[in-house]
Amino acid sequence: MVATRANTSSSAAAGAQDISPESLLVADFGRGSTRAFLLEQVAGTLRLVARAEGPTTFDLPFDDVSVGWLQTLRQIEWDAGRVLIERDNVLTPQRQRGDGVDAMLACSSLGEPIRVAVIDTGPSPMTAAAITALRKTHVSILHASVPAVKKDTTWVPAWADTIRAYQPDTVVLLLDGDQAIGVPRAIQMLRDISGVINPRRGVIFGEATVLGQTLTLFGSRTKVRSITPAGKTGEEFGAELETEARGDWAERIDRTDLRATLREVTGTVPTRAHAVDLVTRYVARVSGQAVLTIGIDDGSHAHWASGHEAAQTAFPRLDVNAGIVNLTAREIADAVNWLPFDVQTDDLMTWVLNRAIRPWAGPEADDDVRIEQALLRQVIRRVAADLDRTHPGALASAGLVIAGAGVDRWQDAAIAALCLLDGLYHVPASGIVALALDRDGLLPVVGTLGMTYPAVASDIFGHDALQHLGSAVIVTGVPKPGEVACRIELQVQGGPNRDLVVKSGDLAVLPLATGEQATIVVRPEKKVAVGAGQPGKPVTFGTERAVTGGEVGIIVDARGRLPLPSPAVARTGVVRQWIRAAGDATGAVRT
Amino acid sequence: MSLNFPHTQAVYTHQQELRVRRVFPLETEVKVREGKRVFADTVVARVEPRTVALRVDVPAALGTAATETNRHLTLPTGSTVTAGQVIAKTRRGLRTATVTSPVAGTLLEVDPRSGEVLIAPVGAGEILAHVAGDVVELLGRSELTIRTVGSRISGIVGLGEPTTGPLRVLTPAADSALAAQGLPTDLAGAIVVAGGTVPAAAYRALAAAGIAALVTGSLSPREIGAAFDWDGEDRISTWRPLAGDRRFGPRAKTPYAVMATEGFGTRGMSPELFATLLGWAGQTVTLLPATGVTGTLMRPELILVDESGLDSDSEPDQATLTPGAIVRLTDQARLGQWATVLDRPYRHRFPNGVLTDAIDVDLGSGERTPVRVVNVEVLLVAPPRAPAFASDPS
Repeated sequence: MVATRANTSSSAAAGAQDISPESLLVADFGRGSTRAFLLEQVAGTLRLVARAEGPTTFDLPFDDVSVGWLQTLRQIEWDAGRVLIERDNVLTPQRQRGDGVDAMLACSSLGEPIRVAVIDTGPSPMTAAAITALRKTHVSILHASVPAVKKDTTWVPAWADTIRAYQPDTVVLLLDGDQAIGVPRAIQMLRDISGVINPRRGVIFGEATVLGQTLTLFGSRTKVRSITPAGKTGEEFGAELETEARGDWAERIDRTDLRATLREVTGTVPTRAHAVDLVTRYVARVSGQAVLTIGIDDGSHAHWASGHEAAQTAFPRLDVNAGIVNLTAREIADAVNWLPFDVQTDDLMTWVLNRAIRPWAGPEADDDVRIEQALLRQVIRRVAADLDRTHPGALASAGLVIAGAGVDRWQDAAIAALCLLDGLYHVPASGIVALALDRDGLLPVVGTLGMTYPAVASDIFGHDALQHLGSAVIVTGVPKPGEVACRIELQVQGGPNRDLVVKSGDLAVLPLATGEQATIVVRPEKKVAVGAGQPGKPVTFGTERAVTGGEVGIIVDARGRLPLPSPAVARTGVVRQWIRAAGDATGAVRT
Repeated sequence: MSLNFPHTQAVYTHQQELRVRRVFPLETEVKVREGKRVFADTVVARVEPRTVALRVDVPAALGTAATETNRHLTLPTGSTVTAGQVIAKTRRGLRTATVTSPVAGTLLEVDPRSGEVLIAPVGAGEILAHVAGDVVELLGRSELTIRTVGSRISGIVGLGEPTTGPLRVLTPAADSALAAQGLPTDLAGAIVVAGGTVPAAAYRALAAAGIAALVTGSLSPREIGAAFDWDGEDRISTWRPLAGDRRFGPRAKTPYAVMATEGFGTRGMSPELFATLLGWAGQTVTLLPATGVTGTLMRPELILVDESGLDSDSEPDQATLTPGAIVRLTDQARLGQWATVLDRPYRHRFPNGVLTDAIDVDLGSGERTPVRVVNVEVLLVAPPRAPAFASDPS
């Protein structure tokens, strides 16, 4: 939590206000880009009226966040035709003549994330509570779990090296698991590296008898806190860790320029990832379905929520900008599978390294755009795989997938839909998944608003946040390429019916415009299944929950899953067909 | 200007006031105060010698257990050792197996876990200024800025440690590949320039020749990886920043410092930069190779200091996208291509539908071509303040 004029607690409800302002300015400070959103009363509700984006100037060469922020505000002033700045400050409250805004809110992911090493001694509810709470803040987490097997001579030296290289800012040691093997092993490992790591904070959780052994694990610079399990719930423990991590992060980015820029901000300043997490939970609750959101921007994060359950995964250093170098060589080499032309692995490596050292450069040539899209798919796959690993079944249950602004960087709905399908690479249990795009980057804004103005957040989400791309029907167990996989009947409400035969290996798109609703009957061939359904069993979508259209329409994905055809010439031809099929629906065909 | 550089000056600045930022490892103690005049060999900071000590794997060399190293040492810890001096020995049948120190320095300690012996080379832990000038800013315990006067070429990626030496140009042209055979025999301690591609064999030959640094157009990941045996299972990991380390490519260990002016690949150095370096040949230059993209932005710099001008007042040129400025394109398809700015930036929708800030440039054909503002780097400010390339820096 960053210091602001009227800080509230991190509780979303604590700062909630009932009074609806006339106008609001919301800032979203990312490490690479800064976005500003102007919300204004239109016909009785607050709506998004202007948006601007510019480079974040928190780091060098400017070293002053206000430079980029003021430039972004001037762009909004120009677009909206009203004055927002007075003497380099945001003008609040709104003046009689209409200039200024009633309030300013912000979310932020500025600065390096706090590095936290979480070391546990076996399965424990405290581990989950700690990681869940820490992920609400701007942290990167290294999680080490001591194996319970008796003879293991490799764990201690391997993890000692890993944690030494990681140089954590905070070490969270959870000694409430296996006492016989886990505790001595964890203490031994930390003892081995006690002289070469200098965490700012050490948090040790365990029985009083164990805590005595941990007194010398950290140097004099480390602020150590010991906690016994007595009377401490996981939620309380997590909340303490969250508060400490927020404090450390706030201190890290505490600078005169940032304080001045945030002077007019009211309420809590959440991280971008936490704000999106709040929205994901909200959407899951109000829509009554499992929702997955993917953000690939400054780092990557995925959020899943269903009812009262939620899960989150974050890779603060993985994206398609400077973080692209955190893809593995294997992932980069595999990106070739998404390209409609052949390229050598060495050339892809060189491309990635050039992007990593000039992360602000954008692709201009079509081939470079395709490479960027291919690498974005690989980033999505990593994030999705991690979510699936930590929360099995989450991906398959998602009925709605929302992609953040980073997936729309090419302003091409068909490509965004394709990147999501290829990147997520999961089979929805129901056989259908709705796809939507947060084109303006409003999800963090809605999450931030929800902490102070819940009603406004709901209005903005309902009216402005999502562009629906359509829905994707996914069939599995497809036969040989070219053979019929399924037959589709699309019954559009108030319109003509459309029939389609989809062959194995194809990606087919049926137009269904935004606002249109339909029922879809899918009749798979004998060995083909719709989602996780029985092979050969027809499925009808739209009887319980209407299937809605979007910019792309209804995608029928009968491509099966890996392997893609080889040699390269066959593969590139197939990929070109997929891109063309998706693009046909939106009129954006560039292969 | 460009977001790609940590300063607001052009890639090439000629005979101006320069602010040289030095960022040290975290456990550093700065030894100078603001206002102090420093010279190339002034010690400006010290790091804990243990963090830069060489590790000699005595247990592996003697075939002994890690816990027994102390028993086999021939000198007590804290002793001064010379290169080649025996530091540990054991009897192996009728013969005696020995381990020698690879460098002259101090035997610091034995790592209790691995049994390795830590030896701090002479001068280890001392960080030199490398450029003459005045310390104008101290930031915490690990960062300082020196104001100097001279000329600078900013690179885009660098490896290794800061170094100073005479500049030698080894290739006849900006795009000529460097041959491993037939290198001059007097390259020891030199900062050498090879405009075009450098094959693996040439990287190794330069190491054997004892050069201090290499300045080249581009780094081929495959060639430099093959030269210095980086190729593991995950080739990209060499370049991946480590958590807690601000440097790009922290695992890319080279026996000499390296700076690339253009980027990665096989592209030669831009002819104009190469011509400038030809003009610097024979003079003593300093290469500060530190590169960091996440966190603190750092780029390598090749600096030709003019000590006689240290007391002169001169305002540095600010790089701006004004008509006449010479820029370099950085989108991957045209990386390294030069252009002249024709007009000020404006909003433009490109054929692929992307609406963004653009600038019209002349790519040499006389035609007006819009390019994205984020894809240009100012190489040289607009005339008349900028001199021609390859002019005499004196």
